[in-house]
Amino acid sequence: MKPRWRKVLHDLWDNKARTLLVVLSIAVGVFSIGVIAGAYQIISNDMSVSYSANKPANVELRMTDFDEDTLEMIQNQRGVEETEGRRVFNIRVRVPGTEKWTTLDMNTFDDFENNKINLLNPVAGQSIPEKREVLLEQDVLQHIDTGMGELLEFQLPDGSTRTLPIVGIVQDTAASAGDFLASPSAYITMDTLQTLGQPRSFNRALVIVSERDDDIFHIREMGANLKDKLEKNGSIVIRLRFSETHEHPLADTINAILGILMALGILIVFLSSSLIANTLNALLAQHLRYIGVIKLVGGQRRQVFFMYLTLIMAFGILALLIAIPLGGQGAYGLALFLAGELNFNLLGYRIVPMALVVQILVGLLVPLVAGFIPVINGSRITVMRALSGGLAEDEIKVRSESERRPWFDWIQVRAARIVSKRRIHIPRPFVISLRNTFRRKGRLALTLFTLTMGGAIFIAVFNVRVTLHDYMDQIGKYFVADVSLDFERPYRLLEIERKVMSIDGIQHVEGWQFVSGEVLDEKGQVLENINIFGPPADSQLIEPILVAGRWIQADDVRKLAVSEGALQHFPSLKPGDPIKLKIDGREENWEVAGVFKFVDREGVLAYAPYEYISRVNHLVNRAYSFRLVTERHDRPYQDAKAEELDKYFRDLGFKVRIAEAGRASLDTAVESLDTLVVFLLIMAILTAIVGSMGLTGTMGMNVLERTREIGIMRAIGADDRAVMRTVIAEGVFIGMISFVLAIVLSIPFTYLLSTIVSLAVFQTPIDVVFTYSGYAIWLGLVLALSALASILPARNAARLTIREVLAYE
Amino acid sequence: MSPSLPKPVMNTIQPPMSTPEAMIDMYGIVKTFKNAVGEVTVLKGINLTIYRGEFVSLVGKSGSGKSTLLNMITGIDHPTQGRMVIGGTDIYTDMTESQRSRWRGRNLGIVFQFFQLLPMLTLLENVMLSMDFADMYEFEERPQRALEMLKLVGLETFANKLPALVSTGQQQLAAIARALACDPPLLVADEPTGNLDSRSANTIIDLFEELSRRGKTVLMVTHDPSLTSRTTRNITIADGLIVGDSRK
Repeated sequence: MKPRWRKVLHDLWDNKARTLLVVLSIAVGVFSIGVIAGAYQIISNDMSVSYSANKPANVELRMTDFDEDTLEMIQNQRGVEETEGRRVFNIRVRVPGTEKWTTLDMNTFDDFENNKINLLNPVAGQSIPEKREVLLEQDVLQHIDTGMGELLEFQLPDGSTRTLPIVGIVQDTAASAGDFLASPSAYITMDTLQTLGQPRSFNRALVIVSERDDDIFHIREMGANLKDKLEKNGSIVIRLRFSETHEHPLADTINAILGILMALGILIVFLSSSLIANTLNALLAQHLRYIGVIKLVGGQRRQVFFMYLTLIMAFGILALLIAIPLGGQGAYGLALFLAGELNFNLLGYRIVPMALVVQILVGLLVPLVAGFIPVINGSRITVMRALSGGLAEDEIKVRSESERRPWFDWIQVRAARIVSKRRIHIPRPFVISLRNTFRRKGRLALTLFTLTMGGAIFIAVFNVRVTLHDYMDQIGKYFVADVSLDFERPYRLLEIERKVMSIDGIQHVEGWQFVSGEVLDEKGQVLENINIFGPPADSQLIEPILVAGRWIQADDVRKLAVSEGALQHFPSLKPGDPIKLKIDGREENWEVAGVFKFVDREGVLAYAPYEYISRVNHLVNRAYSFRLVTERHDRPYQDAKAEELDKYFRDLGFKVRIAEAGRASLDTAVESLDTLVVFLLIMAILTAIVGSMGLTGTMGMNVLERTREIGIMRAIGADDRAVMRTVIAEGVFIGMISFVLAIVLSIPFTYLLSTIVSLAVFQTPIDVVFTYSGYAIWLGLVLALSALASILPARNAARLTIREVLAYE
Repeated sequence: MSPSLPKPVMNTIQPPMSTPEAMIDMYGIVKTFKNAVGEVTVLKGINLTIYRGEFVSLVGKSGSGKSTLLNMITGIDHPTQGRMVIGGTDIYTDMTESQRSRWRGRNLGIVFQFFQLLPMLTLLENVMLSMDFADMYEFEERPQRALEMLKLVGLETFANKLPALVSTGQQQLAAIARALACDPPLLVADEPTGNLDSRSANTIIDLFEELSRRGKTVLMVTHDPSLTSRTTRNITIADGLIVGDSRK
């Protein structure tokens, strides 16, 4: 081996700490991009594969009770590949001997063995229950403390209870896909219905279309046609849901989030490249003398250039050896976590070729690009300057400037004098820390860039979290009621009101109605479902966020306030515009009175006055659904009152469907949003780690370069603590500067992230809210990180002996 | 360190009548360095006593061991064998590196050949720094004392200048002011005039003479024979042994 290549090997091996720092700087960026690119690829592929593998229903018809004949009629329609009937009903359940009730969506299968739509994946135990046995969706175990082989107590509509054993845990990928608000699911056979006080009939039809199963317009059309036909046959279709076979309902949201993660991953690569540039600059500075010697003995610029380029490539390859396997594991881990949260399966661990290629490119190219300028500069250095350790030109500069101070030094000295004249004396060791901070301005800028970006993203993520929660709180204004009380059949408003008001703690009650239909285009084609709520026009339980126009009025006829979701189909929709709807199989022209903000994932949401909707439903002065206000509005009180109302009405023989806290649905939605925020936070923490690594590197280099000065401090009496304090104070000071910059930068970041996330999740931009907590936590974290990042270099500094200083000379 | 170490035998010079108290006592100082080719013994059992108020020059050729001996006196490096007692303190027994730094700050002033001022601090701040580390004098009193030290070396008008903006001679004077800041009884200088012109060198030696007259012990390593004539005692070292010791 030629001596110069042996030198490269020695450079790698002899200073292991430095090699490790450079390799880790590269590895962290490569790891991050590997995790994100790998997870992106795995999730986008496996989510749709897993979803489609379970044969999701393209059309879900939620109907009043129907029998086998109706199901057969659906099966016989043109374009229908497969159909299955289910009975789905809410039922309250608890572990025997405990108090807490949980509402489940109970799914009744006619034939588990020949299940062809929305397939269940066995997780534990049996996958087919016998009579009076129940299967639980795995998500239930997060809500109820139970397990395989345990008993569950079910509450029947008449208030009595039945106990069934849990014989299996299954995964139902279609159970909550696309619906943040869905209750957890359980499964029984038709034979168990009677035990639970339910009629032996279906109320939900699942349909797979025979062609164009990924064409949402075709699927909607099919759904609308089926609904027409069913309604002509006397069935009542309450609601329709559509889904493409190979597109998970949350795919758009997940892709948007993964897009953000990818952007953050690229940012991390940039940050780590600034770290690499810093480290390589310092390395080249340390090697000036060697470069001088190489040139002195005849080494050419090109040879020096390739020697150091090879060294950088070696750093890159070592980083790849660490980052590729870890990145692969990380990608799969992230995908697995996300799959668990969204209830789909992965196809197994694998190396993602695209992620591998990206990692190799990043791992080799980024260090080369980052190190190119330092290497070029290093290889161009003159022998004279190299041998003088870079001092030769500096001395000339100082002499030529003779009496002129560098402006920044002048400001620092001047500031110290002004402060001192005011009899404020800053301890000199701290003055050293402050002034050392600004000595290497280029290095400081790169370190601050890294740390500031980490901080700004971290703070922005907290702001985004609060923004999302605030928006959910605003959405909560559509759910002001403390308790929702729904019955299986309509009751008279006055009757319910009289009974409800006799219960302690109830202050107000309203009867609401509901009608569903479809939004049509000019040609009469179905565009989207529409669910129209009918609260009293003077309802106290809605505080709409109006975007345009007005809210509903009692005398409105075929007028509605519609959510922003409608703008997807009619971008120029404004108050006063007509909108064509299909209600109860009839095409009707309605008028838009106003547009309001809302999260509508399942079709368009709209409000029209009870006064009109009750006439449409032929249920004047009656309602299925009642909204109540209690004297307290906290969740435990709401739960208690819901429980009390449920029992009260069941005891009186009313057919209660469900009584639940007003915040229940909202809390579930907020939990789902928090999962999303956790991902953003993971990325923020990763950037913070890169930032603190950058700071550790910088402090390490500073200490290396200031060996002589540290020796001097030691020589004139600085003990270990004094030396460490000086170094740590410098690190903390850099952390503080980055914090101030991060405060500023977090503002545009917050707006950007909030807009991207809200568009992905809510399909509408939302008002940004700022919170102190992100700033406070980051302040604490950046101080801790900067202190920690400086401790190792500080310890090294404290260990330096003055003999090393003399050796340095 | 064994308590049965040999007594100093090489030093036959008797203490001057006016300064009977020993400032530095060395007992059998041996220093061996290990390197790739084996062990090299640089100091071969030095026994030496230097008394308070003496102005001593330590001379020797390059590689004779004088800088290594100076490192032993200043607590910068460990002897392989032997005891070093300075001002009554055995500095290599039961003292950590960190404690030795603190001790050095309070008891020893060091003047380096290359001045070694901290470039980011003004001359005044450099002088105050050693008081900060040693925690000597009241915090509010330190600026005034530092200014007095700079006055002593004639640099009061440059007090707020950074080291890079004054001449090398002035930097060395500032380094002496710093060495004196904590009023140490012992001043150790490693070729303090090696980098200076003859006029600046003279100023420095005048100052050392004055300090010696005021009772400070000054130990100076030098190559320059013209400087040895101005010290009160001249110690010569060769091949790790003291080969000459004369007092005027």
